[in-house]
Amino acid sequence: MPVHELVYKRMAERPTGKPRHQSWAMSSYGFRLAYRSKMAWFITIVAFIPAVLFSFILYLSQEAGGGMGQDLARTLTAIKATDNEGWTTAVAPAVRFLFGLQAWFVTFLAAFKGAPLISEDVSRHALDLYFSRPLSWFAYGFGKWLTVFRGLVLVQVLPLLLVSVTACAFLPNFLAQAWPLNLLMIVSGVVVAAAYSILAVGVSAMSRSPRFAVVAWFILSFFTTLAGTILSAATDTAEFAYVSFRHNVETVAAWIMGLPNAETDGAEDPRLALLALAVYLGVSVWALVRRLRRGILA
Amino acid sequence: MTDVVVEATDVVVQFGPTRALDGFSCALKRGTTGVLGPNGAGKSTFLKVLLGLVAPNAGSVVTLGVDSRSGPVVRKRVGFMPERDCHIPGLSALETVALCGELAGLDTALAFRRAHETLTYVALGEVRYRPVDGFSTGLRQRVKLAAALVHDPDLLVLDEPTNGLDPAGREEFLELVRRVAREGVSVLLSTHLLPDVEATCSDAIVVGRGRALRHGTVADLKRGSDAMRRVEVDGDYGGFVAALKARGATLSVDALAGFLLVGLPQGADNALILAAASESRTGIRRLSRADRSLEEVFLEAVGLPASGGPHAGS
Repeated sequence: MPVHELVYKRMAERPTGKPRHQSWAMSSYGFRLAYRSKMAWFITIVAFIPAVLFSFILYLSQEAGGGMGQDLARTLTAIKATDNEGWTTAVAPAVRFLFGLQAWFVTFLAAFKGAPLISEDVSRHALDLYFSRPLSWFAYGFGKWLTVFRGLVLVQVLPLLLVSVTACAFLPNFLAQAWPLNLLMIVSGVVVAAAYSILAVGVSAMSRSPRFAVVAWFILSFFTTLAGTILSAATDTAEFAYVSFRHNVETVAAWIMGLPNAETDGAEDPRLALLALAVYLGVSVWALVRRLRRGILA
Repeated sequence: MTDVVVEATDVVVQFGPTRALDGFSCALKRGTTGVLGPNGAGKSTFLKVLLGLVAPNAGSVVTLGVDSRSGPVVRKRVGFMPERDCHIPGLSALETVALCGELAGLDTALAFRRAHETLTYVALGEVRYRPVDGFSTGLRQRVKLAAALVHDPDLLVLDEPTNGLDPAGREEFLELVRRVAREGVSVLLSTHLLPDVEATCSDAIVVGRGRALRHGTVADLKRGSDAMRRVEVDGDYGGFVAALKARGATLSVDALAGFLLVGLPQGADNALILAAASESRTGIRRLSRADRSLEEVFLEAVGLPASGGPHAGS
């Protein structure tokens, strides 16, 4: 339509509807955008495969009987909800295995969809657009975190929920006897997703280049784990394991569920892991705040 | 309702050793105001203070009756179009504008409705579902304008809006701005393109060295001194010049442009020029007050030498 035929009209009425919270609105657009990519769909779908297989084993244990599924089912239904020893011996291997698998999907989704989030905004000067609205830096940072968190919940928490629902459906008295397992698994999953989201947002805020942010993310995820493992083995000192972000997250998650860490069989103090995790997350938040203050003043 | 939309009082903003604003004061009225200034003059800092993005070290800026220190409250009523080429990667034009509307406090349904309206207004109706990443500079400028308008602000702040536009696109864009202004939205246009201000704004403010150096209506700023006249004569003007000098007038001759600039002595008027013409038997083709161009006003205000002669005003 030619410009000369257009007339600017002011809003006929003042807005009366309740607006969404700014951070939630931001994360909704960001989430929708992330899932326009085939890679996000691929990672999410693949992330459900272990949980579906696990659920299938539970189904077989009930329907077909025999094998590992039946053993697990029998154990799950037999143990008391508050029996930590029971958890440790019977459920720990399965849950730890599942958490370990999901961590890969979390790492890859956070790398490709989380780490570039703020650096893309910086490189395209989108901060100018955001902060010329009535948006605080906290709402922006929280919105970006929420965007990553919603994605990671999909690949970390929902598969666990699927396992829980399946267990409740197929194992007699599972809900009544083992509800804390469900709850603690979900809480741990949420903590893992939240921690990875904070780190992803922090890494993203450290760089102006989305590609560099992805590289930095992988360095943090893999190389710190590698470095921690090598240093621990070389010096025979378990403390070097705390260099690894992944190790710390998994230790804290296992501690929440009352399970020892898979790699060390509970040899280390989870409080140290919590402290190391807090340092990682604190630096991430500091990087975010620093970037946003610079972005606003640039 | 007060007629002043932005009132700055002795604003000082210091970035490390640099004083970006140094006692900046002005009162901008409703309507369209151009903010002129060379690079580093403090224009952008003033806009950031106005929007509440930078807190002044001293002084205050009141925007639409609200102290700009309250930040987000001010930005709810102000639409800002940033200077830099900025967009949210991956989002379509419609989503970009709707998100800006939601961030400004509109509910989702209203934000989308307004996004459709404003995108149609800026002539992007047919490409609104396309990602902004693939847009040309001109289209991106329009998206930014739509994003600034989506929440129906009372004050529209445009920072170098016609940068990178071709002449036709620039004229269309300025026409859009004039239409918005006619609808009752006050417009603050920060630019270094003086013709944009002349074509769009009723008022102008010249910023330099962190201060407001000149401020008034564009017509007032361009109005020359009452003592200066521009005279076009027929034929040889040697005798005429001598007669004027004998009467105490100061003169400068622009032979190329073919006119004389005459500075009248105190208390004198056009009669002095006519008497000199009569005495030297010189025919006067045109006699008018010597008004200045906005460029000359700007250069004079920032302390730079003018590149050309004064323009004539009728």
